[in-house]
Amino acid sequence: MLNFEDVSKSFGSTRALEQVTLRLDPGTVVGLVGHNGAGKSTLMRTAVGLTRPDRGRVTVGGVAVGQFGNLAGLVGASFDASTLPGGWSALTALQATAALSGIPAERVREVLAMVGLTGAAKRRTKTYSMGMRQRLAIALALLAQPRVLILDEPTNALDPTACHDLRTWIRKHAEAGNTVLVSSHNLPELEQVADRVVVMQKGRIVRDATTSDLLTGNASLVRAERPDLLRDQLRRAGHHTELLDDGVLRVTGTTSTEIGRVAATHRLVLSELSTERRQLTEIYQLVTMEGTRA
Amino acid sequence: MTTNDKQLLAGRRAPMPFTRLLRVQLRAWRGQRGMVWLTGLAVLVGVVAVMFGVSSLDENPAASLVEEKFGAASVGFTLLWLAVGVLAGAAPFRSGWAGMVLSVAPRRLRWLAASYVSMIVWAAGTTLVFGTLGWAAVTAFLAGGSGSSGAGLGVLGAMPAVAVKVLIAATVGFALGSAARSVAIPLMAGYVATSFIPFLDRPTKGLSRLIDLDSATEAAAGVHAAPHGIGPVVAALVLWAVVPAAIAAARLQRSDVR
Repeated sequence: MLNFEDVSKSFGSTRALEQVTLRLDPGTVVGLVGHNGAGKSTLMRTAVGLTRPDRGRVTVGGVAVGQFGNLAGLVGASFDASTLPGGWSALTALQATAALSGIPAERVREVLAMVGLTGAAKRRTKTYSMGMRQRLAIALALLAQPRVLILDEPTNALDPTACHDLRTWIRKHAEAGNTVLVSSHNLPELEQVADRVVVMQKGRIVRDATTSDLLTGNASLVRAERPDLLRDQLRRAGHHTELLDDGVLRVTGTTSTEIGRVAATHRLVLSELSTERRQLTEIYQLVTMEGTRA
Repeated sequence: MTTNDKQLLAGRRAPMPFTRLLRVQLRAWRGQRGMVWLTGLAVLVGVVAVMFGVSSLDENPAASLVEEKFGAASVGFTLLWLAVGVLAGAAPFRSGWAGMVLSVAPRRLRWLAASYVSMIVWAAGTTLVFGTLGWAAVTAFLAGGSGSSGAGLGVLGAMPAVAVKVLIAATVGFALGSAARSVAIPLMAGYVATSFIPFLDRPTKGLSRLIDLDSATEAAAGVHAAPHGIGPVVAALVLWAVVPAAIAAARLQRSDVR
């Protein structure tokens, strides 16, 4: 649905984006991660035309973003929540955006209730906490129920309950067949919601993989009645093993089936056999370190 | 891609209806306290000045005298429209509204045009209110509230010039504000710099009249004749309104919007 094709953008001598190519399919949530200044926000802003690429093109449904005269219901975006008009109330901001998008007034009440701002709807946004402003920014993006939803660091300043709610809205939106692109520094949160993770560094994509591929490690974790014996047998079979503090045996260079076969051959009872699951934070650090070296 | 998607994509190529942009901008002005307060202040200052202006008149003055007094007393009202224009031009960029609206309606110049037209509609409505209140004030002061034929005609006669001055002040303010995307510099230029221009007449051997906005406004409003012809009037209006508007448009087209 949303495609970035060879997109490059510079600000003076700084290259914000360098030949970024990314395809986002309907029904998926894509997480965008990277250090500050990696180019995430710039990339997202090109999807609604607020930033114009120097080279390449951004398309929605095969049509270049620049050719649209009206993005209501097609692309909805939430960027820096601190730049919302401070003199306005949430109600004014939502009503103005609804009028612009041709959306009925009932939808305004619906999103206000959804993000929990009904009680504060008439207060000026400059009196809001950062978390409330963030919720308003999300409400504005979701207002027109867009086919492509873009959320730039939406978990900033959100409390754990609001983060949980946000995950639910994002998943629901994607399950309805829409595309979601979400950037975040909150990697454990992103890990739970994204189907795919794209790592950016210095304006380039350095890793693009499904979340399950990224998080599934190449090691197996085994809990056995006699771990020392199993370790000896696995070593003899040429596999690398390591006995962890909690008595779990970490085995690399082989499959679970092979571990099971070795245990069965030597009549060793296994109480647990699983594939090691890594954390996104760990992967992110590895990937960005590799990128820095390269 | 579903049939709905194809229809949505096809329907979204057409630009946002101009009238919708206009309505939304008017709603935005209403929601912006600075704009509402400044507009209210302009009306208040204008009406109070009119009351003072006509208080020295006889009970049943000639329409031409009322017109003259009303026109002179309206200076405060017309002057404040430069500030309103600056605010209208700069505020959307400073408040984040420009980014919000352009992420839905990406045709930038169309939005800028709608923004300008909406401010002119706002100015026209306010000028109408000012004219009505001014007329009421003049009528109340003259003939002890019993009404005066000269009052109505005098106010009516003065209003076209007031409207032209408001139009020019608001246009110049909007152009400067949207070009600079700030408030302080356009206000300095519009209020302080313009007041020094008459003093440059001799050192520049008369060339300063090409940039004399105040004289050009007076001439365009028909308050004073243009002693040096229409050329300096057009030159000053181009310099103060058209050039900054062109800069604003070029800047909006080329730069990123926050």
